[in-house]
Amino acid sequence: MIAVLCVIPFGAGTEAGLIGAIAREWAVTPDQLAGFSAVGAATSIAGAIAAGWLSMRIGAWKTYVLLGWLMIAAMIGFAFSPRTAAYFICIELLYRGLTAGCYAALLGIVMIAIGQGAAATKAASLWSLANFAVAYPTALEGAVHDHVGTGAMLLTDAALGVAGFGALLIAARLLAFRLSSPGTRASPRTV
Amino acid sequence: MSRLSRRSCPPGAFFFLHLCAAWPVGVIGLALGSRLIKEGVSVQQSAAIIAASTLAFTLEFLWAPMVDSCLTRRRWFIGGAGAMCACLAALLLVPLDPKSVPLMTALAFASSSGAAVAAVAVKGIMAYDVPVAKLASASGFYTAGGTLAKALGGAGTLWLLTHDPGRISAVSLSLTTAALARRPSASSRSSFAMPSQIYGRLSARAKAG
Repeated sequence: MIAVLCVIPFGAGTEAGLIGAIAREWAVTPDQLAGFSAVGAATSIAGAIAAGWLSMRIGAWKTYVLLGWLMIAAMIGFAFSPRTAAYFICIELLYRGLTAGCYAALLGIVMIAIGQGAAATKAASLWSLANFAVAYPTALEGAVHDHVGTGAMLLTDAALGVAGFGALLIAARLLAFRLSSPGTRASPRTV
Repeated sequence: MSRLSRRSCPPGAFFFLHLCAAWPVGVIGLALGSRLIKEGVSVQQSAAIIAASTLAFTLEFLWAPMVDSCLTRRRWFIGGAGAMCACLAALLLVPLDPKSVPLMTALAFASSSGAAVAAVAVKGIMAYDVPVAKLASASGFYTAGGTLAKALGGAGTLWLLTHDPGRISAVSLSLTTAALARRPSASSRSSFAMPSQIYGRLSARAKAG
C-alpha cells in the first residue's frame, strides 16, 4: 500500500517543475521569476513545517489527503485565473507550500509505516519510488502543453491528482487497508 | 532501560541534519550549472554533471543496506557528509572549463553519493530515535531542511562564485565541517547549536578577509 502511495501522482507537485515554461504566459518577468524562487523556498519551508504540525494533530494520512486536494483545487483555479503576474505568483507560492507539505506528510506516512527493522533500506527504497510520481506526470504534462496548451496542462495536472487519489482508494479497498491516522504501519516496531 | 524509552531525538534536529545532506543538490544543480555555462562549457556537458549528481541520489537504495548492516548510523552520517564535503570542495577547486568535465562529473557523483549515504543515515536515525507520535513533525522539519539546503546552497554558492571565486571552496568546506562538528545522532538538543557555529565561522572568515 505504501509503495502504491509513493508512485501515484496525487500530491506530487509536478507542475512546479514546469513553472519556467509557462511563466511567460502570465507576463512574469525574469526578475520576478528569480525573486519568486527565493520566496518560494520560504513558503515551501513554511508548508513543510506546518504539515508536520498538522500531521501531529489530525494524522499524516488526513494531512496528505487534505493538502493533495487543495493542490488539485489550486491547479483548477490556476487554469482559469487571469493571465497576470500577481495571480501567477500567488497561486504558485501557495502550490509550492502545499507541495512541500504533501511531501512532508508522505514522508511521515512512510516513516511510521516502515517500523524499525532495516529502516534505512525500506525508507530509501520507498523514497526512490517517489521519484516516479514526478517523472511520468512531468513527461505527460509537457506533451499536453506542447500539443494542447497551458490551460489543458494545468487541468491535466489536476486530473492526474484525482486519478491518483482514485488509484489510492482502489488499492486501499483491494488490500483492505484503512486510511487512518497516525500509528498505521505495516508491522509492529521491533528493536 | 529499554531502547524505546531512550528515544529522545527532537524533531527539529532533522532540519539541520537534512540541511547538510541535501547541500550538493543546490550547489551542483543551480550554482555550478549556471557558472559552467558562463565559462563556456556546453549545456550538454553541464547537464551530464548535474545528471551524475541526480543519479547518486536515485541510487540511494543501493547504499541503504550498507547503512543498516554495518557501523552505526552516526558514523555513516559523518562518513557520508565528510566525503561529500571533500568532493564538493575539490569540485569547486577544479578549473571550470570543458577539459575538466569528466573529472567534475566524477566529483559531482562522488559528492552526491556521500550526501545520499548521509541522507539514508538520517532516515535511519529518524526511524529509531524519534517517538512514533513525533515522526510526522520530524518529517516536516526534514523536508524543510532539504528545501532550505537547495535554495541556500544554490543561491549562496552562485553568489560567492560570482563575487568571490577564490574563497568559495573554503566557505563550503567550513559550512560542512561546522555541521559535522556536532554529534549527528541528535540524542540531545545540541544539534540546534549548528547554525551558530556556521555563523561564527563565516563571521571569522569575513573578518579575516
